[in-house]
Amino acid sequence: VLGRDEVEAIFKTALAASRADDLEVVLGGGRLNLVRLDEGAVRENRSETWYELRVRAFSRGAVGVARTGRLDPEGVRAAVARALEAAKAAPPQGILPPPGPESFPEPTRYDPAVAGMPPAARLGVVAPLLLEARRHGARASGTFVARGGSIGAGGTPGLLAIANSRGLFAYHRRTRLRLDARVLAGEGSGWAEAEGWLARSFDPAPAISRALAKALAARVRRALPPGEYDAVLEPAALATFLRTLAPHFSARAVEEGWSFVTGREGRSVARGNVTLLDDYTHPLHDGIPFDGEGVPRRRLPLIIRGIVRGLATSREMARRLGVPPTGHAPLQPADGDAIPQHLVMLGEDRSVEDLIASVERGILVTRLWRHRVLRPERALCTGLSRDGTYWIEKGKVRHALADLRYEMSAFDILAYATLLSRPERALGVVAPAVKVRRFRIVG
Amino acid sequence: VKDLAQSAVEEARRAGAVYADARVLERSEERIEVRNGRVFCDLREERGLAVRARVRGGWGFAATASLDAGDVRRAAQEAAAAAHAAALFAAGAGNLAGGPRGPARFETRVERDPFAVPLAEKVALAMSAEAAARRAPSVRMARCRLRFLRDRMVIATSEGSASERILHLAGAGVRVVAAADGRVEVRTVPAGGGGVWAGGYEVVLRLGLSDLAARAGEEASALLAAPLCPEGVRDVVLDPWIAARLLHETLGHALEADVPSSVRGAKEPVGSRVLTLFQDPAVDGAPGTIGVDDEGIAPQALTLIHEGAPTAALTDRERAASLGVRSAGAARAEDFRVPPTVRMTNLAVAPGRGDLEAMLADLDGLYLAGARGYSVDAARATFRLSAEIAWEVKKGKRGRPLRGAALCGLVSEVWRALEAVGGAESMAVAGLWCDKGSPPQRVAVGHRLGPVRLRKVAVLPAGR
Repeated sequence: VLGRDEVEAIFKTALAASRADDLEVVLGGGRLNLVRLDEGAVRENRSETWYELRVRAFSRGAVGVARTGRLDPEGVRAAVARALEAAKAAPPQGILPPPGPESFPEPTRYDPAVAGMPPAARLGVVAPLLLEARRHGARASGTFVARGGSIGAGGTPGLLAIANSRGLFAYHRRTRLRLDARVLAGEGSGWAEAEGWLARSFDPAPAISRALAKALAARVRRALPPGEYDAVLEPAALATFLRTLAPHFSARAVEEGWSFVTGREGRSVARGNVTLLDDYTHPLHDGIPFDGEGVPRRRLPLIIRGIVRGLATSREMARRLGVPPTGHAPLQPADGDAIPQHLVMLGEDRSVEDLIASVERGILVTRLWRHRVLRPERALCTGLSRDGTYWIEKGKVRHALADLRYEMSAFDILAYATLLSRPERALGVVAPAVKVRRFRIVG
Repeated sequence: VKDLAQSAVEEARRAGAVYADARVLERSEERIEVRNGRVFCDLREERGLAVRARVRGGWGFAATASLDAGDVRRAAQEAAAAAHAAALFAAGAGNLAGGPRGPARFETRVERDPFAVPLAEKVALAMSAEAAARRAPSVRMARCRLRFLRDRMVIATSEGSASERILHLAGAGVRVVAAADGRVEVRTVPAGGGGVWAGGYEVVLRLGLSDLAARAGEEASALLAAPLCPEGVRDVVLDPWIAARLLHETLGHALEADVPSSVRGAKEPVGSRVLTLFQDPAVDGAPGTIGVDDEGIAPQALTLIHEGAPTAALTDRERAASLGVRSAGAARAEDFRVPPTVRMTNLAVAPGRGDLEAMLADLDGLYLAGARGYSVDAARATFRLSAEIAWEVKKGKRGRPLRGAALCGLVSEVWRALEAVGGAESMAVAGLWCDKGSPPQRVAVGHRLGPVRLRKVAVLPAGR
């Protein structure tokens, strides 16, 4: 993955070539290694190496963007010229010039052995999952990803470095490892994930055991009639609901009136035991210290003890509201304005087992999928439970259930949350397991 | 470029690949967006090379944005090494199925090259549509997007085939959000994520974007005061775009041979006798008209469902081999970064009779438009599809709009409730962006169909 000096040289070429009022340059990309499993076999063993230079030119209060995969001086200069051409096609709009210099902490989580992980080593990580599943008459599925740089899940380049004509330069190189372990057994399936950034200390074994145990316990499943049930949502299931909430805490969404939070700032939207923050510095997150505008990220309270206490603001929204920007802007310009990206929901000193033990009759949900928003104003969602749904009776897991379709407002989850466990990181969110009342299962 | 692809294939073969192919891709893209009066243009160029290698059933793949000879050689060697490693846990060591080789060259027909149209003209078009959408009361957000893509791909395989493919795609869409008194309504036209077609700037001009946008704004605004759709079993007519989404999600993906499904090989019919469905590789203006797929195979004309009974699956070369058939030519990759998987190209529904008015003429029920959330279970057995808007129809007359209508039920039953399909004169080419897989890949899929009428299907209000 390109080092700081190499990136700086590319940025210098771009800034020197600029004829615009201001210029911002962003580099994303790196190298991604991936193994995809399906039905007990390896379907893909692959790598991708690429970068995208994104140039934003400012002219007469308008902006234009040009992107290129070419990092040679000629390619860079062509992108700079095209960005200005794009800016000139837009009418003047009073867009803020980019911010000035800031200093940022040095990145510390980079392991060249992850970025350059060779094909056989990738197989070495997934082989135990494949073999363990086979040994139990089950089939492994899922993906293993080792990435260096900022390539995102859907092939998005992400943010590796940013600079602008006002002297800002920020660079943050990191590596990430993630095993998404899914095991299929009989009618059922189980799932768990493992994350890390350092190749030699990455240990997928606990996740493999957990996914396997969940699958084996779900081999035979029973149906459950529709109705409202007490439910224990494991951290991954809660994380899916919390991610649905994030856009509601964008100051722009609140201003535009389609957020649930509109008119509820300073008011209660959740039970008193719920505190939700955005905190890239949380030890379980490995966030980068600046946002897509080059603004330092700040810790942001969203809900404190049930009360709405904060919104994410871009520089533009911050100017309109007369507050400082929170450092949550995506790469600009973007469809979404600033939204929380490193959610942390605080928990309580309990285990998931404690939560299960408190349930008289109810369900245990491992995770969700096909999660869709039905009504934006209440974050009303539908979707299906997946990879381990179980029936709890008298505080014990009794048997597995077929996947359940739910219809539930994400805010109602927070309003009905009676007990929380210790949080962990799941699906990119730090979240506890939660016991909720009135979890609505529909046909 | 062709030599570069061929050299990558040869290098992978030297490194032990039994089969190899290489794709070189050059892409130009323009996105123009106007959101609440804010304009921006995003111009993008990229290129890269992908090598895919196969060893005893194991696939290896490496992609690089560098076309430097040394980097290409390294990518080829790495793909072969990855295939060797994957072979230890391969799904099967069988041969790849054959199929008709793609033409030496295929290019989308374009009347007006969008990249030659001045940016200012495209910006003006998007601005006028966005302004039209914003005119209705209570509209809090309006957005118009235009997108133009030119994709040049050269593929070479170790079996000696080579094709060049130049695709031109044009996309457009308007999204409107109206809000008042804690209620929010959304309209997207022609579809969520915008529509996408094969062709040039003429495609976007023909849409009448400003009129579409104005209507979307008025509808979103009217929905704020509309009653909630009551629960019930109703006869419904679906606008072609929401019908396309239902078809795509319930049957289209289920016909892809790499997706678990109860549709393929079903003993019972999956639809009524009115339903005949094709993979049509030559629908004019449809974004799945690609000439050659990402394995170098020409997509075949296939009857996928004949009078309600499934007859064929969508396949790539590997899945076709396991089914003992020729490849359908349905292997597609989003770009050079990722290997192809089984994807729809174009789905075409055999036309019935009559236009929309004829279909509504004797209807007592609902007319639905605007696909919103679609959610289906793992086995693709049950589904839920919300409509942005539903109109009450009584004795053929369209009445007041209703909000929150959602179709739900069993995938196996919804198409058996199909009573009528619009005639050739009512057919639309509905091109949708489709995400599939984990990690997801996005490709444009074509659907040609008219409005459809379903008899006695369950309609639920979303969000009582």
